[in-house]
Formats: sequence, C-alpha cells, structure tokens
Amino acid sequence: MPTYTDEEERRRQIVIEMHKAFSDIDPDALTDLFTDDGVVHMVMLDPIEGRDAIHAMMVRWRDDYPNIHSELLKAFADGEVVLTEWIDHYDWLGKRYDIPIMGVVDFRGDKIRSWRIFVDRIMADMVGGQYPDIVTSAS
Amino acid sequence: MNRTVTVVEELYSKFAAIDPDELVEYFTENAYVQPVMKDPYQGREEIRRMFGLWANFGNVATPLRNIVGNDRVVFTEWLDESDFGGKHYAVPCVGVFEFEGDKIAAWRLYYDSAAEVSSEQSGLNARQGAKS
Repeated sequence: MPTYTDEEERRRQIVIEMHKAFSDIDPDALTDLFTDDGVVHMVMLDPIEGRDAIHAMMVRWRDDYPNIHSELLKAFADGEVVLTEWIDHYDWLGKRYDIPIMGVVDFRGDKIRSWRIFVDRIMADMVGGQYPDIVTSAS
Repeated sequence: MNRTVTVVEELYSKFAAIDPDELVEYFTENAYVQPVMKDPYQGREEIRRMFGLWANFGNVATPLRNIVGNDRVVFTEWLDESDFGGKHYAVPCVGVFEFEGDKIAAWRLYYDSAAEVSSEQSGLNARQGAKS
C-alpha cells in the first residue's frame, strides 16, 4: 500500500464512500461533496458544471439506475488527485450491464473540484436513449 | 518514487518512436493489454503486433497528466495525440498497469473509442464481439 498523508487518505476515503453511496443515491448528500463550481465530465459528453447541474444528474442517476452497484476496484491518492478503477453493475431496459470505468477526481481541499469519468461510447449510446439532450449537445 | 512508476514513465517516453521489439520487453510473457470494451492483446506476440500497428501513427505525443502507484499497480492519465490518415487525434486516456516484479503483467486502457481512429483504418482490435 502507498503511504498517504492524512489529507490524501481523507480524500481517498471520501471517494470510497462516494462509490458506496451510489447504491442508494441521495442527490443532496452527493452534490454536497462538490465545490460550488464542481464539474463532472464523462469524457465523451459535455461536462456537467456547477452544483445545480450535478444535483440534477444525481437525481437522474437515482431515478434511472435503481439497481446500480458501483464496485470500486482500486483508489490511489496523490496530493489533491484520487484515481479510481471500478465496475458499474446495473440494469437497463431489462438487461444487466457490468461496465468497467476509470475516474480521476481532483480535489480542492476536501471538496471535489472535478471528476473525469473515462467510459466507452458504448455507454453513451445507451444513455443516449435517455439523455438525448446531453448527447446531442456533445456531438 | 516507486520503481514501477519509473518504468511506466520510461515506457511513455518511447511512444513517440515506437520499436515493438524494445517495448514488448517491458511486459511479462503472459501479459495482456486491454483497451476496455475491446478484444485484449494477450501475450507478447499479440502485444508486439499491437505496437507494430501503433508505429503507423505519426507525430505521437503522450503527455502524462497524472501518474501514481505503488510497487504493484500504477495509474496514469494522459492525452494521446497522433496523426493518422491526414487527421489529428487527441484522445484523453487513463490506464492501469499491474506489475509482476519489474515487468508489466496487465495494462487496461480506458477512453472513448469513438474519439480514436476506427479499427477498420488502423487494424487495431475492435470492440468485443465485433469480430466477424
């Protein structure tokens, strides 16, 4: 195991807890993890900027993926950055998906300034059926 | 700094002028390279073939934005820049390297495959299950 400073370990734990929280999404609590100018950027889509937009995204995730489990495989911290690898398990239109994903979480202090999510277009194709506004704006 | 991190940094420094025989030496005999959602390159011969195809890309630059690891695992984030077929590509990527000793046993790459050169053009492996 790497040796982390107290700040690095605290940020790592915030990310670990965030992934646990996706099994029972509380949009208010999850949004509160972010800075006021926080950004969530699934790299194949336009970034979602600001707490209001992030909150709306969390509501969608809560409503649209009721059976999601975010299985965190690895989480490494380095200064204000935490890098993660995980598998999202969820149902979509009656089919079970297991999607491998990596993320880079940039912190400002103990709040998340940006979360870059690296996922293949195959997932964008799937969410495109539900989020055509997002996909269209990114194309 | 962990030896593994130094090895990965060294690997990235060689992507601008790829020598497949040299690069494959960084990997164990049974290693795999897995662009996630695509068919993996399993074993040194397949990894050498992959690097041979990568060598067809021009003006390659792979600036690392983040690199962190321990003695067994290294995470990277980089911008993968190259020219192919008269077009410039700049694909944000992240990767996980798993080591056995000083050699890489696994490298999983995550990025949006829609942003890269198509498999039909490059000859690189296609999305899993897409082979005819």
